[in-house]
Amino acid sequence: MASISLKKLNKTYGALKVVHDIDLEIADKEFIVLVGPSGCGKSTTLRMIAGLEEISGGELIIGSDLMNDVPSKDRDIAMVFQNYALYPHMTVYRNMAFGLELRKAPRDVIERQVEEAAKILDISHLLNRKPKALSGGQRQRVALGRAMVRNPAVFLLDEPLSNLDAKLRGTMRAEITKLHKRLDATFIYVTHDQVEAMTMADRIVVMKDGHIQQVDTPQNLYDRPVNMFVAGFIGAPQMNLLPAKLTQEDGRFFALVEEHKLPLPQSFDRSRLLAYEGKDVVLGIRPENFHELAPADIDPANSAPFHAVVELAEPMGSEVHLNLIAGGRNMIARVSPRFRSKIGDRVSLVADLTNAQLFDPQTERSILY
Amino acid sequence: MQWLEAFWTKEGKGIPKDAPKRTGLPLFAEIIAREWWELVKLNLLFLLFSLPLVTAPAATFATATICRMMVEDRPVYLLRDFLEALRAHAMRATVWALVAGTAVIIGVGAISAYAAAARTSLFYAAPLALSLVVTLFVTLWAACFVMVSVTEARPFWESLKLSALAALLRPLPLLAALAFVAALWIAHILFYPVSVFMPAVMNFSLGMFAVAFGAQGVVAQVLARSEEENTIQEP
Amino acid sequence: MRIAGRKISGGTIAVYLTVIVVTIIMLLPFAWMLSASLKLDRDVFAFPIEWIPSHPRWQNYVDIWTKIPLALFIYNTSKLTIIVTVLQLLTSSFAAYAFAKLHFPYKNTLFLGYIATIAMPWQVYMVPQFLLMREFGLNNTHLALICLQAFTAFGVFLMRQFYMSIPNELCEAARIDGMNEYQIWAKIMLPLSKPALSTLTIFTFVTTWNDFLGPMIYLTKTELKTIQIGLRMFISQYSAEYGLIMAASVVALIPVLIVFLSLQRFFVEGVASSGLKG
Repeated sequence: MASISLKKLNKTYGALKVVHDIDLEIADKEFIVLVGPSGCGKSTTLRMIAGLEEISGGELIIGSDLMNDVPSKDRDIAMVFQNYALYPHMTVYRNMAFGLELRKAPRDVIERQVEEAAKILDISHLLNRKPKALSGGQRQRVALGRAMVRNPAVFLLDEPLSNLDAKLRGTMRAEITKLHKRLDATFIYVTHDQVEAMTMADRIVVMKDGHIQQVDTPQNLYDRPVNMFVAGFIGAPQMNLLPAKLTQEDGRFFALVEEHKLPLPQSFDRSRLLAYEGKDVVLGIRPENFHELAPADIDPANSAPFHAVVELAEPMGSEVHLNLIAGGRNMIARVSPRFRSKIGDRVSLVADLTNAQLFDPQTERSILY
Repeated sequence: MQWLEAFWTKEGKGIPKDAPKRTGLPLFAEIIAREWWELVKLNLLFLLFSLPLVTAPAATFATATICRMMVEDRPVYLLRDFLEALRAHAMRATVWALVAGTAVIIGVGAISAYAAAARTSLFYAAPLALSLVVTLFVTLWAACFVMVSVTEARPFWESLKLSALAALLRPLPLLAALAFVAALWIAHILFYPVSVFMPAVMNFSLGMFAVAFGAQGVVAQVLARSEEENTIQEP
Repeated sequence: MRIAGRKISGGTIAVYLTVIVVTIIMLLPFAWMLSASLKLDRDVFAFPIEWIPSHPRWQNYVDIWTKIPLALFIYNTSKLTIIVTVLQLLTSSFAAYAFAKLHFPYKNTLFLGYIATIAMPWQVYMVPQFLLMREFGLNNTHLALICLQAFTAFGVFLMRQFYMSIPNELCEAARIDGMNEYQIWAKIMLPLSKPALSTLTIFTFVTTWNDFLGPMIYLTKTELKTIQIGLRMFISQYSAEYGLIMAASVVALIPVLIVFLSLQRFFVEGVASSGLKG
């Protein structure tokens, strides 16, 4: 059992507080991704779990034991570092076997474990080489292998893919996900890349300035962000955040954005909306919720025409990202590549508000959730 | 000295997985280039454990074990594996040294005697040639015996039989290896004052490595064949 | 200008010429020492200098062993040098590991204070230090010199700077793998610091071997003397046997040369290969 719970965990360096009272429950065998911009305290949190940073306050419980003062080696964890941290003077085999050797494991066990891990990671041909000769991707695999051989209950990965090139990152992402399925261990993965977070995680922890913003599954984070930071951080291109005014007409709520009157879905909680009637709000619409033509499957009651000027069109092959200006605001729409437009054109799109978000401009919190 | 950091984190070229494996001399050179420091340490280890003289044969076998692992590109824990092999092969190595040593000495004696005789009478050329061939074969046989013994644990007589077979089957790579060993020592003698440290640094381990490299193919072949025979005979 | 098919600029030639001239100037005293070691005392200062003696006096190299107990001096010097070098390598790298990779209160203050002692010339405090050692009863022992020279701020500084370049993650990975700090030092740091260790070995070996003032102050008994002060026995009140002094100096130089030549490879290799940024 390797469930992990952080209770009011915090970290201070002198007067500087970098992690503020984090509460988090991680289930056994879960793949948790800590994501956030650099300096948000995600790495520090991971390092506290690893035992590499002292815990300034709060409790860290792995399984059922309080781990605050337990040294790293006794926490049943393994860690993969951003720069891989392979021992340069040892062969790959020794790098992988080292942890087991220190634990005085019998030799046949060591050999079996290393060979098995090498086979899974497809690095059997590298076992007798020194790290100096390996490429980034190969080092990455060795680092994973070194973590695997000890069969730890918890894997901690600190931005393991950020030193790889884009193509390799894609493959390794899939491999790590497969590895997680296969190893049946708890994974805690730190990254600043929301794509990695979305594709790999069972649950994502979004952090900013040492605070947890939201913890949820990738889809829920995408569909129901609790504040403007999460809304902007998850998803690429970013969600469009437009200043709007909330009004009510004939029992229906509308968001007024410039000259557009956008109907909000009936499914939104009326009691929450009522509190903001006639006030300024921030309307969030994902780029893919703009369409060149109203598709058949959307409710016409929840959509409205939207006019904007094309500033730039970025063809991506399968789609086009239109950088638009509406009422002095920059925004992005994802439309099909068949949509023809020139820079400076005033285009007319259909905005689908079924999945729209509303935020309080002062607190930046979601009005809906 | 922060600029040194690249030294630890710099990425290498990578090792292609599916690249055709080198064979023959390029492979030989590649392994030596990679393991040269280990070979130097192995040589010192060999000298250290040969000092009490009676342990020299066992040290030879242990060196052969390590060299074989290097040829097969397997991870080597130098000291640990050396000591284990030393213990495992001690008895057999001693017997081997006595028998092979005696045989080779007799052979060399015969060669020199017949060579002296052949100078006076051409009639002795035939026995000279015979004793040359026999001595050479005995040397090959002895070298093969070492390699067969350290490759797989077999009963003494079977190892003896298999190594004779190996020496007959493909003597050329082994001969080349022995020539390499001879070249090492000749170089030591020729460049004497300069090469004074050669035996201390590399001659023994490098020579044994060459033998292991030369014998590897044929030894694997005869062992596989005898394995086959055994499995056929059993049912 | 083209030489052997390669284009060579005038600047390169000028640089090479300068380097060659400087090298020759640096090597001349050694050449003089070698040639003087094969001469009679009265010929040593003969002018013009006869670089290759017409009658080399090899006897000088035999006499030096009998006129003074040179073998004993070499033994003493080797003993001191080897012990001091080994101790310095151990203490320097050990302390440097703590300064570079561990966290403890007032680490940087302590380090700065220690480093500041480099700025203080030894000549300033050697007399009070001597009085102190005499109080400890260590006068006329090798132990006194060993104790004094086993620790060096410079060595700690050098090793620390080198350890700073080793990524912290390496130590952290080792901690997670289950090593304690002593094991990390012994199994990760020491093997990785061959270039720095060999640099420090060269420095320490050469300075200790050539040390004159230290043995001069602490060692007065003949059986304790090192080569460098032993050589003075060739100088009597009225004459100095320069031929013998030079011959003994040549002998004394050999170990230093061996150590330097065998270790400079590590040193140069470490610096050269790491200079390339990946």
